[in-house]
Amino acid sequence: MKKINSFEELEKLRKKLKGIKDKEKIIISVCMETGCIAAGSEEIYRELRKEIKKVKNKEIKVIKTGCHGFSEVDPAIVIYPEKIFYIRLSPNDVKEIIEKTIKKGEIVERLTYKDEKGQIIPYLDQIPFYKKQKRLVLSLNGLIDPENIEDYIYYGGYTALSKVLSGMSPEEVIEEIKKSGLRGRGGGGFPTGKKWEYCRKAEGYPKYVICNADEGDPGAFMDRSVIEGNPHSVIEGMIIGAYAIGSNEGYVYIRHEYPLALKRLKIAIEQAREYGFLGENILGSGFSFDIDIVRGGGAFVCGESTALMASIEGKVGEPRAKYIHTVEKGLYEKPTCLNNVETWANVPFIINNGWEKFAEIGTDTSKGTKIFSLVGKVKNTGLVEVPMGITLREIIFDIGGGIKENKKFKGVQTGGPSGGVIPEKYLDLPVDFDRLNEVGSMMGSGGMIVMDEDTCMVDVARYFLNFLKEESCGKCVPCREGINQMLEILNRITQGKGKKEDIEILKEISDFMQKASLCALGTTAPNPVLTTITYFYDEYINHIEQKKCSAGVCKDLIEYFVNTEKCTGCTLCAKNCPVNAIEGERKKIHKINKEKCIKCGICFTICKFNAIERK
Amino acid sequence: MKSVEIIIDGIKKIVPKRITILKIAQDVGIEIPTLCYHSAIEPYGACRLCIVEIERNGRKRYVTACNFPVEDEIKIETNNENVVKIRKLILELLIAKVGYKGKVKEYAEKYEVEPRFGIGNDDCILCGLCVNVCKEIIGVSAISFSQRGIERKVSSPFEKEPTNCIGCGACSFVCPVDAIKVEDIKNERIIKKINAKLELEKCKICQKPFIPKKLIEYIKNKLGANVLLDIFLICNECKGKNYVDKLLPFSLTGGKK
Amino acid sequence: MRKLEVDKILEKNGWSKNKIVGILQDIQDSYSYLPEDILIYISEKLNIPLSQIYSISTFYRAFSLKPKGKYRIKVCLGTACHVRGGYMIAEFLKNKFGILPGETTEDGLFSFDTVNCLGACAIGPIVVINEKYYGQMDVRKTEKIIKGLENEKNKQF
Ligand SMILES: Cc1cc2nc3c(=O)[nH]c(=O)nc-3n(C[C@H](O)[C@H](O)[C@H](O)COP(=O)(O)O)c2cc1C
Ligand code: SF4
Ligand code: SF4
Ligand code: FES
Ligand code: FES
Repeated sequence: MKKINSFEELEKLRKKLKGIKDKEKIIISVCMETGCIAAGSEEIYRELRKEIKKVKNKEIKVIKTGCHGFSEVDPAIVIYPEKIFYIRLSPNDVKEIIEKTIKKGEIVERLTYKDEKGQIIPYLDQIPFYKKQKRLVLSLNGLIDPENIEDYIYYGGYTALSKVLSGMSPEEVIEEIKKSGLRGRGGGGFPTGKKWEYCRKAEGYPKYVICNADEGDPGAFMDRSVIEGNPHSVIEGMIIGAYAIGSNEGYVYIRHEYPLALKRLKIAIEQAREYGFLGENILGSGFSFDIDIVRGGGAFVCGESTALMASIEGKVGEPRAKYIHTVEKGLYEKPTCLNNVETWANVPFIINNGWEKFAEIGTDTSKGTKIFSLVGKVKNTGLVEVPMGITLREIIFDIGGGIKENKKFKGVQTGGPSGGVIPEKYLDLPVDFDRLNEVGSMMGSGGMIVMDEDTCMVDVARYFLNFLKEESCGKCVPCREGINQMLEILNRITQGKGKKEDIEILKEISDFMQKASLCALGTTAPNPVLTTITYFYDEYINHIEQKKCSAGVCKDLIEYFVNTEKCTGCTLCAKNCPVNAIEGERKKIHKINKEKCIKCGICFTICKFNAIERK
Repeated sequence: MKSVEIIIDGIKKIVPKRITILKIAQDVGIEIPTLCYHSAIEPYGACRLCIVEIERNGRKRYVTACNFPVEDEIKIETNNENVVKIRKLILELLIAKVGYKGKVKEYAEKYEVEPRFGIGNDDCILCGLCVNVCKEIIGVSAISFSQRGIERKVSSPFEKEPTNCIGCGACSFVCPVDAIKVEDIKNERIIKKINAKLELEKCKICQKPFIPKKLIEYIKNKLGANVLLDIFLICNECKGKNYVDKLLPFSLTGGKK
Repeated sequence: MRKLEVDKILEKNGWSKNKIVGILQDIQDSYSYLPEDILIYISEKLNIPLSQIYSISTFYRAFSLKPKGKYRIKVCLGTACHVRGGYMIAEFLKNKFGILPGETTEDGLFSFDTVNCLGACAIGPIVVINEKYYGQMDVRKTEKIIKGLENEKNKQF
């Protein structure tokens, strides 16, 4: 491909692509992201390619795309243009799909989604999981091949860039973003336009733009999905941002645990360079900009802006004081604008459609959409993009289909280790930066982990502190030592050795860490503890006074034993115990050896006679 | 506007912009406790003991005095109840780590800290002064922090003998809890904490081994000299007898970067 | 020999001091750990204090100063995997191998690490063995896979 040298040439290419692509009548899209591949989509793709070749019809195309989001039913395919959605496929299903659907246009009912009542729903848009979603950022995920820039261009990619470079001043771009009300999607919710403006006005050169793709929140994978499904939207956003700020050099800081995202991003950047969207004199406008990729090293704290910049500079990821902001003194002490993946990916939409279109979605203070990874004990796990202002109940029950195995909802964790657990009474809370803060949690980057009656809230608090103990950089005393002491207390409580004063001490250390820690890892670390104490106080008391874990999670407080009346001696449990802790002969009553038992609970779930009990 | 008016503990003062609160406090004679600060080294902001409360436009927040640059009109309280509460907890946590040692002991007594989390026995509070003095002032970077979080510690690379350590002892000199002991045994200098072992040169006058050979080499290189002035080669005791008892200012990289 | 390989990696990264984290990533990828002699070599070549390299090598989880096993097992302990019982798998492996996360079995066959989220949360608990992802795992499935790997080894000898 020859470099595109002008806006006209870009449109010419788009026309040419239209000529080619409009001939593709049927597109079978197989989602190929980390999650889908783990579920087996690669095999489906291979089989499809093999079988389609035999059909010998140029109007049918099989493509690898980003994720359609409904991970629960992976591996799945979507057949365009009708958007027929086949789920939980195995390679053996492929032949039937070709014979019936592709050749004759029939629906293979056994492969479709079925709702609660067993009703068949063959089309993607009609599935409850998608109904309440609004896909701006994810609109092309599932439709384009992320490794092929021409797919993106065909669907209108790089028009926003072209619009900006051909007729908008940097100030106008900033004004557009400011008016749209876009706020940072990385957690803090800082107004993006304002950040750009500060950075534009800051003195110093060079200036840098950085994309934060560190996505360290455990249980969150929005950014991975955006990059794996539509990397060019992020790149286009960054180029526009760089133009607005006056920067010629950008970085994407990407988590090392994401090899596929890294690969696709690399390909996308190379292609963007080849086509002339990156490099010198972009589209003949005189503006130059390029992007370098930096791999993270596996440290959650490196998502923090100053730690991230230290890491790019080749240092240990230690935060430093931000009394002078990074828009003034950031990377290499130069003005730097850092935004999250999703923030960048929103930019092309705003420029293409105008700020009004964006601002009409959402609430007063939070505009646009937000992507969440809906996971945990919810029926329909996956990636959802919803308009701001939707309630938690709608997300969890309408989109998510409620709790797995119809158990009871207990809480939903948002904001990762910096956020908190939101209890049932706030389920009707609209999702909005400020409203989530009010109840002690935060939007965070978009992890939404649903918890049911089998989740112990003290254990959740302990879990996050344990996570943070491993992830704290260890530089400042409040965070390093504070987390350590809090964790010791929580460990004691989960072992049944807690004292009632412990709760007060936890609160005291929390308050102290919020005030005295150096960076936001430390100042927000107490949130999971504080919210669980506030909303699930009884559970703490239960552990401390009754020495009981009602959810049956805290190992030191539970025991598995065989109900001698129910045991039939079927040996199933003994065969399945991973540590051979169950003894007993066939047809004789079995016994659990307490010394060996690791309390994994397998016997408890596997026994057909409910003869294993927990107390 | 190159200067601003601030109020510190009720005292009004006009100060140059971007001066730190700690410097202002020192000027007006207010004492703020510090553990990780040294006037010759870039502030590190790790111990948080120097925390103070500031008020700007009616909003209060806590900042560390050693590295907070004053930009506009603020009111600073360096020792109110909230601040003291934070400092006490910092000290309590440090006692849980290292027990009553050096400056921690001094401040713990001053702030009447009652330890609830036990009395620890580590040697180091991870203030970073040793690491930073070695890097910024000496220009050697023989030691660094390793690991992270609660596992963090000061160490030499691979916890082996640091090949570039010149044995100057600056790390030991700045340590607020005396965690780094320098021992001269016969003709060797041993700094156990950082696994350093250095051969000593003898004093030109009394023949007692007293200065690491590597340090002499290092100074020679820095000064670009083939031979050194005798002042470097004569031990302190003999110097006291023969020369004016005065050390050269000990900064080989020209001080703070 | 090794120096040539390392030089290639340094070349790829433009002999740049700032790229040290990326350079160490490449070394880790090639050798499955960071050999001490190579770190010393890099320190000399790029004129970075060895202490800084050591500091970085021990700070980031991506790096290991000891060789990893033939099968590198990662168990996700991210929140989503945790609430679905991922911790039991970790517990099981600890017992099974008698090693702690970050360690390698004596025969060099297995190493076992815990990680915080691999981004495939929707189908958690996740276990990754070498580069292959396994979704919706539990103790039993893990045990089966490991048995399979052990058998494979026996076959080879
Ligand atoms: C401990 C910690 C971890 C963070 N991790 C991330 C992350 O993984 N991704 C991200 O975009 N922002 C993360 N942030 C927030 C960033 O520091 C920063 O605010 C954000 O990237 C700014 O982009 P935005 O304005 O577009 O949200 C983290 C912050 C802290 C304190
Ligand atoms: S708050 Fe925690 S992560 Fe942040 S600087 Fe302090 S120790 Fe490091
Ligand atoms: S050894 Fe001393 S100077 Fe060095 S970090 Fe520890 S306490 Fe600070
Ligand atoms: S003296 Fe200011 S943070 Fe340590
Ligand atoms: S929590 Fe395990 S993959 Fe995300």
